[in-house]
Amino acid sequence: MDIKKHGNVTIVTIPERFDAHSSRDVENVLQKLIDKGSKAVLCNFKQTEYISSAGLRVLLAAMKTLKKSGGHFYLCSTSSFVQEVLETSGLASILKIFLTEKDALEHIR
Amino acid sequence: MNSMVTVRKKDKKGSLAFKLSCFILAGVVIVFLTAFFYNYHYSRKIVMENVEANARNLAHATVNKIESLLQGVEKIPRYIAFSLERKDYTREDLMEMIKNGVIASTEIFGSTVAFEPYAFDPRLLYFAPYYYKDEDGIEFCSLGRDSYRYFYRDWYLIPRELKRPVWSEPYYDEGGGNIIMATYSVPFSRFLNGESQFMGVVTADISLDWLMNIISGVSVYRSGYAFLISQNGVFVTHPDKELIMHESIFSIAEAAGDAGLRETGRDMIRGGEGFVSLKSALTVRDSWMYYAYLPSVGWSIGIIFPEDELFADVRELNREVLIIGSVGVVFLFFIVILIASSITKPLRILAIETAEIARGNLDIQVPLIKSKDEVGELSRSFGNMRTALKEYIAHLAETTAAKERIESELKIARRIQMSFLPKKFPPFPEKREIDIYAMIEPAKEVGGDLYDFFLLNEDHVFFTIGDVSEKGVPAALFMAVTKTLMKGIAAYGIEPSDLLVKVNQELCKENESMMFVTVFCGILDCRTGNLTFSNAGHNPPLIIHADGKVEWLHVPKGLVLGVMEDAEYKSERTVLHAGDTIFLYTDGVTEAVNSEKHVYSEERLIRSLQESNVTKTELIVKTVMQSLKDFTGDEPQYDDITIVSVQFKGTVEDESVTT
Repeated sequence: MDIKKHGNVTIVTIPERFDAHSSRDVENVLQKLIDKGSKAVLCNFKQTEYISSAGLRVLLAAMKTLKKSGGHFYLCSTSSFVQEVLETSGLASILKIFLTEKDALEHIR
Repeated sequence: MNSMVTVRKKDKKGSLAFKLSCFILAGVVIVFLTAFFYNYHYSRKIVMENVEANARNLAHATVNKIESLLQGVEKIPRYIAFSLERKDYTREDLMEMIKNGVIASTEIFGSTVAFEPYAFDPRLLYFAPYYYKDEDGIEFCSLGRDSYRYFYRDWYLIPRELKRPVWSEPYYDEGGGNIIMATYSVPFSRFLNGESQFMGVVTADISLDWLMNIISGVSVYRSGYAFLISQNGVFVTHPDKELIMHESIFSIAEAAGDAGLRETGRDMIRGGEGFVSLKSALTVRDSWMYYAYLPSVGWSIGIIFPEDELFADVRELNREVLIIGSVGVVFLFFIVILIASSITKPLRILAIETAEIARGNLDIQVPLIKSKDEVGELSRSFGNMRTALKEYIAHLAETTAAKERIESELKIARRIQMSFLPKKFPPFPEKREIDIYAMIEPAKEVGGDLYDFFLLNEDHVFFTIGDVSEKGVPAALFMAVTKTLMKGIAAYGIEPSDLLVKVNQELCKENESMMFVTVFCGILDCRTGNLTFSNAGHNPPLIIHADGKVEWLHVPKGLVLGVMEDAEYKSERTVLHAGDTIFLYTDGVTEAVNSEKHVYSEERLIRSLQESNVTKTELIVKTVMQSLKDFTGDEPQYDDITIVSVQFKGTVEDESVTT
């Protein structure tokens, strides 16, 4: 998983498949970042082709935890499939989703 | 027990001890044999050199001895000849000189002065007084008679011609002593009338018997001997009396076809000296011969050394060494086997026990080998391994038992969970306005999908479908809670949206794991076909019209249940006409994959529904299920598959109108 810092924002690139298998790794990565005190985490979905309910759960958990510690959780570059899943489940309305990474970074500043 | 014994016996040949012994012994034997043959070869060589040196010395000594004896013999006739040439002498003087000469010399057998015809006495043709030794004493006879014309004899003629003293070839003399002899003849002459005139020959004879005695005194090992051959190669003396005078070295060589012997003979009469190997032509056994020349008489001596006696000592020594070596090798063999066995015995024990353990008998006692060497180490490691193995197997057995317990509990859980879901179809046979059919195929043994339908009152039926995030036991438990909540909260008069709000609030309490569930629920008025429904993140259902047209039902946007406590939900309304079917499903249907990683997809679902010519709800559901199974083939199922189909048949009035 590609993790990079841009100022005080940590950008995590979500793997191609965000399902029951990979969700544990992503969860661990996000948890570690939050424990280390990250206040702004951006998940980049440019590589992600598939997301399951396991992935959705991880996103929700991360969002809630960050909120509790005063941080913010963002998403960007979702594919049409991923976006549809987020829309159908209604999560699209409670998560902050940006079209591109650039947009997200601009907004965060 | 029997099989164990067989193992041991069968492996004797291939056993480590045996192999080790063989290899070590092979090496030892090779080294020993190499040393042995080297030693044998070089000791032979050394012996040969010594033998040759000794032979040379012996030959020279013998030659010297014989030469001095023969020279002694030569002196007398020389002296006599010398005297005869310088003095006058009477007949008596002459006789006395001759007789004294014979007496004085032990070597001389006989002697004569043989005169040229009429040289001594003009009246006498022959004059050759001859004195010789006999058993009784000295005998006299006069050589020269018609049957014995001495002046034609070699012993007379040759010195006469050569004008010098000459030794004759050995010959049998019937004129004188009737024995085999050799004669030394010295010619003498007289100065008469201004010139030297040949007068006669003074001779000294030696008997070959005497010579043979001298020669036989030469002792050579045990059965070695010496012999003499004449200038022509004829045997002068030889232990085998048959050969004397009758055979020559050449005749023997010819008879045996031995060219080497012939060559040797030639060298001998040429005056050569040497040390050669003889094969059985001349001698019975293989021998070596040293030969030398007797210059005075022109004969050769040959000294025979039987080969086996020459090398007897060496051979004996080597035989002893060989015996010691062999005994040593055999001894070594047993020692090596002993040592190797002591090493491999513990290994053999270990091997047997390993076999036992392989059979499953882990409790066998590994005898502790206390030695500090590698074998002891192995034994200890082995014991540790056995213990570890036992523990591991015990642990494995426990885990397997636990797993089986869980699996059986899971099976029970599945049964319980399945019993939650309505299974009786048709569920409301008396309500002829509606026909409901549902199917669920969980991915693991307990699933996260749910469905339910029940009558709120006589005319209103509530139905719902849902999908818990993830699968397995946690999902199943969450599913059970959700279903129970819905059943509990639903009542006639409640809006579907309110139901969702309430259920959501309950689910959000104590939901640390962030599990959520998608739900679609609807209430159908069986009298009118009015449908009220609400959605919480679930995929929209399809409407199948009586004419076969399929379209999506537009659902209100709503967040999945269990995430946000204050989430809001909306209700929407539509009307179902007679023959319309509402087709609910979970994403396990549209997201099922086949071996090429293609998904079933919504398009294929719609097509399947359009193409099925069936109208009965049960058949609609089963057709789609079959189509899905055909699509996925052998690919494993990743998600729960749930389908609920609710068909509105129309009101009773409609029915009566149509029939």
